[in-house]
Amino acid sequence: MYVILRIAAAVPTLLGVTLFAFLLIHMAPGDPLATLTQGYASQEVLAHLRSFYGFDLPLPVQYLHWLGHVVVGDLGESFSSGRSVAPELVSALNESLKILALAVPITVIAGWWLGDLAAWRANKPLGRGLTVVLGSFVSVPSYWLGLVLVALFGVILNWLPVMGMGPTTTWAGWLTLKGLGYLVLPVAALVIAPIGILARSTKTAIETVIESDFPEALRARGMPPRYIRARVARNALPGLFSIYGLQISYMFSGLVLVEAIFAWPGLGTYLTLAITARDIPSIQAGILLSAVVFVLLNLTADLLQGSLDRRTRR
Amino acid sequence: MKFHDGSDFNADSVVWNMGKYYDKNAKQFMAQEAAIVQSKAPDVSGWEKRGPFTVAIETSNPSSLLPYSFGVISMASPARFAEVGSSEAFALKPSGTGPFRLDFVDPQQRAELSPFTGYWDKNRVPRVQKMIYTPIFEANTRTTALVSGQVDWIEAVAPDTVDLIKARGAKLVTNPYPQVWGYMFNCEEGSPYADIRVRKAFNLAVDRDGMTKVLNGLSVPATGLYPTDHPWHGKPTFDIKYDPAQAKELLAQAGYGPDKRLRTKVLAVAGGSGMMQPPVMNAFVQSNLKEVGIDLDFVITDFAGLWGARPLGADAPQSHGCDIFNFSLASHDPSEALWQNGSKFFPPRGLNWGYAKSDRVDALVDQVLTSFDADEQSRLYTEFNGAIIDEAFSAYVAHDAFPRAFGANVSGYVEGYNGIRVQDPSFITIGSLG
Repeated sequence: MYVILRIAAAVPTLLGVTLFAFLLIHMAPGDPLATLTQGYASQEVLAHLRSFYGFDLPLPVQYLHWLGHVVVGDLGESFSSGRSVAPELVSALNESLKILALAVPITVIAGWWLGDLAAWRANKPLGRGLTVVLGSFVSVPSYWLGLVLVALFGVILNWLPVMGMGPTTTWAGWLTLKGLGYLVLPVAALVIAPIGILARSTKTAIETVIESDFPEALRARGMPPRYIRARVARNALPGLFSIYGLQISYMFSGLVLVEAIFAWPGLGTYLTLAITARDIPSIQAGILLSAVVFVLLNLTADLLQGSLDRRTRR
Repeated sequence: MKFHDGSDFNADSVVWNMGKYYDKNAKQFMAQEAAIVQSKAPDVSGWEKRGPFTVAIETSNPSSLLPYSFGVISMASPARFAEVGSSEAFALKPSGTGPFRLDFVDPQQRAELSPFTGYWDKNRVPRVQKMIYTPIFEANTRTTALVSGQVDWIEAVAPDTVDLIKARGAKLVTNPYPQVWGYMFNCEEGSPYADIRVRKAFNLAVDRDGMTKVLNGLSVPATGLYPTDHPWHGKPTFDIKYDPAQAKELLAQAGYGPDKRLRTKVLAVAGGSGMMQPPVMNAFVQSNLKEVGIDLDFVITDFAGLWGARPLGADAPQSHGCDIFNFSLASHDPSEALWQNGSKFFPPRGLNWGYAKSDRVDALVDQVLTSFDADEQSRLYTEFNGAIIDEAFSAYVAHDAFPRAFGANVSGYVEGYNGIRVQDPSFITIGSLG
């Protein structure tokens, strides 16, 4: 019942997201046809275009038309390319997933492992050193880091390719060593800050549990350290799901900058181009997709949290 | 001449393509492309096949400059269109008549081209086996990709990467086309720039040689639509040079001075097609103008907003109360220069955003448009360019040098001279680096 209610609660959120995505673009000043006409165009052509894209209809009607099409998977036609937005968006998302498929597990595993390590060795030099390093990770902007990595590994050392996808244009190529070479730098630029954030949050959560009574009670009962550590982790985990979910969601927005630096034709590049060109159908679809992913990821995090800790089921 | 798919290029294919851009009842009509083409060649009102290789085109007004606009009326293969069935499918499998054929395109990712061995000019069948185009938006990444050997050729070299490119043995190529960056003034009554003294003062206050240094040599000072050594530059009487003292004197005559500084809003962008490096360039001009008593405030919009405001005029809400419009203009097609400066092209009929008006310029516009003798047309157009410099309707600042860079192993590139739209890499060869 909790799961059903939680999923049902996400529906108005998603509807609100669609309204936001629609209104955001139409609130921007200027003629939406400026991109298409690129200057002087006859009134006849403008009227034809306005009718073709539905811009002559009242805004609420435009929204309902758009929503009706979105529900059946029709995201409109791109102003820039003249092609259907849906397959372009799916293609862009596919390319972004090639970075995220590495970046997300690395972030989650490294964030947890480093945070756990820093918590259990908090009063030792390793723990203190890790705390400082993780703090610096949080402060590193991904755009700046990307440029530094490009300069270091592309110009000075010339060890790694600095742009494009190489063999990772296919998923089969993604599994090759050469393909991995194309992923190292964009993944590194994307994961550093989230690893810092997650590791620090994990450290705090684990320390809070360590300082509670039950680990001492377990020790007193003669439980082995590995068992105590596992129980502490089990207790710290529920509170971290929402943070991990949020950070993974934020990685989607981080893609905009990382993909620009490494000329990776994913969702970030797609949105950047669409915004630059004021390609309204593409912008709307891109924002909608990003928001849907955000809502779904957080829904997943909430459900996982609820499954581990029934007290959070409210 | 053949299309890449082997079908013939003839009068029937031209007629078909004219329908694609001008006949909204034609099956092949593409509204989006039509908007762009019609904005460049708006006077086309009819077309008729007169023979297997002859098509007559009718215009609604005398339009002697129409041949210059033909560059945007691209010719697609009707046979390929019929084969694939839609413009969407055609975009992924196009067929034209150029020296390269498009073998593969992955939108936003890459395009692969190979030589068209059936090209009509056998001397210009490309030497390379394949050309692969990849968009790289970040200037530093573009440069790194070139110096690391990942790519052989980059466009739009950023000024601050020139030294690195040269240090790594890559070749920097520049060629100032007829593309000019500058400012259009609002010449309507009530605007401070209705006074020609203020417009001339602005022109004299800009340090164009300094701008070239700021852009690390990737531009050429501009005092008109064309470089001074171009035959169309004209013989203006207004000698535009960097002269802040004379600028101040003119402003004083117009009623401005240390106690009454002129504050002006400028409609500008952070970047966009042909706009070069607006933040750096505008900041530099702002500092120049400040010294003579003109304070510029920039209203930054996106590129679509800027270009949308141009045909609407300085008094339109989309121009945000600005008296100056930061523009870039590709003047290899003289039409746009006329649309921007003749009073018959006041908005919404044309691109004369600032409502610039002069009897002398208007007379020359009419004469150019109705002169069908090439030499006489060229003479009149040259006189027109001199006249608009004298009227100071705009402040032209820089000609883009269109920097591109090639790897050390690349040779044979020949520069075109018609803006960014057409480059012919037919003669390029790639050697080994040794």
